[in-house]
Amino acid sequence: MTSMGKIFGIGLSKTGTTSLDHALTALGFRSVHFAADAQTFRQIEAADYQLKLLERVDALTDIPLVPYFRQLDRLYPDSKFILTLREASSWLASMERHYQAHPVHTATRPEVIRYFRLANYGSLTFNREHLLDVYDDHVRRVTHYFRDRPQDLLVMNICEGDGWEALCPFLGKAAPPIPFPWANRTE
Amino acid sequence: MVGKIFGIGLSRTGTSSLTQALRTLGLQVVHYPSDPETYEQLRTADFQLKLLEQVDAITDIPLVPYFRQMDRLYPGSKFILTVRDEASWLASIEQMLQARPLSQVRIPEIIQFYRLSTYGAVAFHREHFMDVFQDHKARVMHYFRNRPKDLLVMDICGGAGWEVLCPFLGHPVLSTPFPWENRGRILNDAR
Repeated sequence: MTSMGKIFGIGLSKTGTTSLDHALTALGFRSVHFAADAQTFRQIEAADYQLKLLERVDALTDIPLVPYFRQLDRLYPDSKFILTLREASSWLASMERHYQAHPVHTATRPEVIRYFRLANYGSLTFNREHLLDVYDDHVRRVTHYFRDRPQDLLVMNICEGDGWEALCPFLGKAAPPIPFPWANRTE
Repeated sequence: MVGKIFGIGLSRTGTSSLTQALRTLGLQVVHYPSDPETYEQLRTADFQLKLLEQVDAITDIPLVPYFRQMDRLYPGSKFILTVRDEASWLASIEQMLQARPLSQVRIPEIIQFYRLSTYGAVAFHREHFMDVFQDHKARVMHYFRNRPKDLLVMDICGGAGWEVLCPFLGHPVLSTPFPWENRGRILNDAR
């Protein structure tokens, strides 16, 4: 990949973001999943998207930077964006379990989780219809933004089995001789 | 009337004027609801609002992220998207966020909730807010694309007034001046 660009996973929670993070790590990229360190959070709160963290890492995945993917595209030219998708009813079921298992007040830093959930989902509590709207909005927004730049956006459904064969050509890498790291698989 | 009226324009697009105009038409209107009960309902994603048992209309951002839920829960409702010239909106929202940072508002938790849910940010960033402004308009127009009678897009700051609002609500056009509020003033919003 080019020297300047970064890799941004811009799929919502529970769409295979952990798997994507592990896969990027396996390909040799320095990847951070759910960047929520104090410095990054302070920068996001201050709407300063030129992240210090990106001086030492190649890739970020999960929702902290999702609302600002267009700013990242402008600030980090030649970056690659990966939108992880998932079949809607399975995504909703997973989000419901996620919200119930991890309510904001039980988080180590509740203010951070609250911030990221509100900025992405506009809600802190599971509501099926609302989250479905948010999901559709997000997919439409991302695909619209990259409509003329297919080489910069990979849409992949890790939960349905997409793996190295989709990711590696997109990043100009050879597929490693190990299974794709599907993580967090629900029984 | 059947249904409710929802002002679903972003802050600084004439929401105070719209509020005053709806009141002039005899409606019970709440501008920027921030009472504890409504906040608790929104915090728990319970969109069947107690507040709407007492009022006809709600304006400004608290319900903006949920306008489609409102449409589903309150059939027959009318939606008013106030818009504004982008450059002038950006200047106005920047001034508002700088004049009223979360550290200086009376109810920071609630204001933070509303700002994050609607704008995805609590600090001004020109390109981000421009994206949000365009996203919101596109989302609303897309949702109502086949229902022109349920959505009014109105540029109050650009001079739109009774001549568009009254017909949309099935009301005779008033001959009194439209209540353009906050003209040239920046800091007197409800927060």
